[in-house]
Amino acid sequence: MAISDAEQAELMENVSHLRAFAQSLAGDASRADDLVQETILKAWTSFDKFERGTNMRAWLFTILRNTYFSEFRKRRREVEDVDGQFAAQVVQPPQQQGMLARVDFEQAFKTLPPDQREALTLVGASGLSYEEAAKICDVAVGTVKSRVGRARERLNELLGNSEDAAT
Amino acid sequence: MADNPEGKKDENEPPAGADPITRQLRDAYQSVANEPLPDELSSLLERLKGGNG
Repeated sequence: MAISDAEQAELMENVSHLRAFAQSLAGDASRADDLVQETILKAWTSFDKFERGTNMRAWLFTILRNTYFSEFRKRRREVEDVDGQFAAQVVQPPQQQGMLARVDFEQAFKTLPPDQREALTLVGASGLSYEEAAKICDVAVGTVKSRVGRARERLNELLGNSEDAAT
Repeated sequence: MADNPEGKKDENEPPAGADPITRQLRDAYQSVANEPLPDELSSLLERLKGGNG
């Protein structure tokens, strides 16, 4: 199915957002760009599945997210025999909170669990609503709000922001 | 945030003003979004656009 010029332009305009979202999930620029490439190819070849009139960014983010977590689950299964070390490395918060009080935002952000990173990115930076984020993550709106709340709370702890400064 | 048109305060929702977390999050997001595309990705987009026309 051919993509109209307008749709093509809209997809291209979203590439920068895809990169930012991918990096927030993957935490690595190279891997993020691989994810973006894969997402664009999937979107391009299955554009007939895009429901016209809906939010293309949300659709693209859904493809990217599914691609990322599919790979994430596969990699986690592959290393499960090693005492789940890969999963622990990905989701375990840092042990030495004091040392992290001064780390910069991006380092602190990377310590968040993937579900919190994506929720915070979707509603806090990418311009999507809680409802759109919930649809992308295939969870309830309340779950997204809860993840965002926990992520913000954790970041405030790590960055040493006081509650007054954060609210 | 687009889901709070009435400005109703939600316990988990960032305020309309840019608190430290929101500000840093948006800065980090934009810094990535504003980076030039890598050659490989640019090439892919050109190929797709060329193939579609």
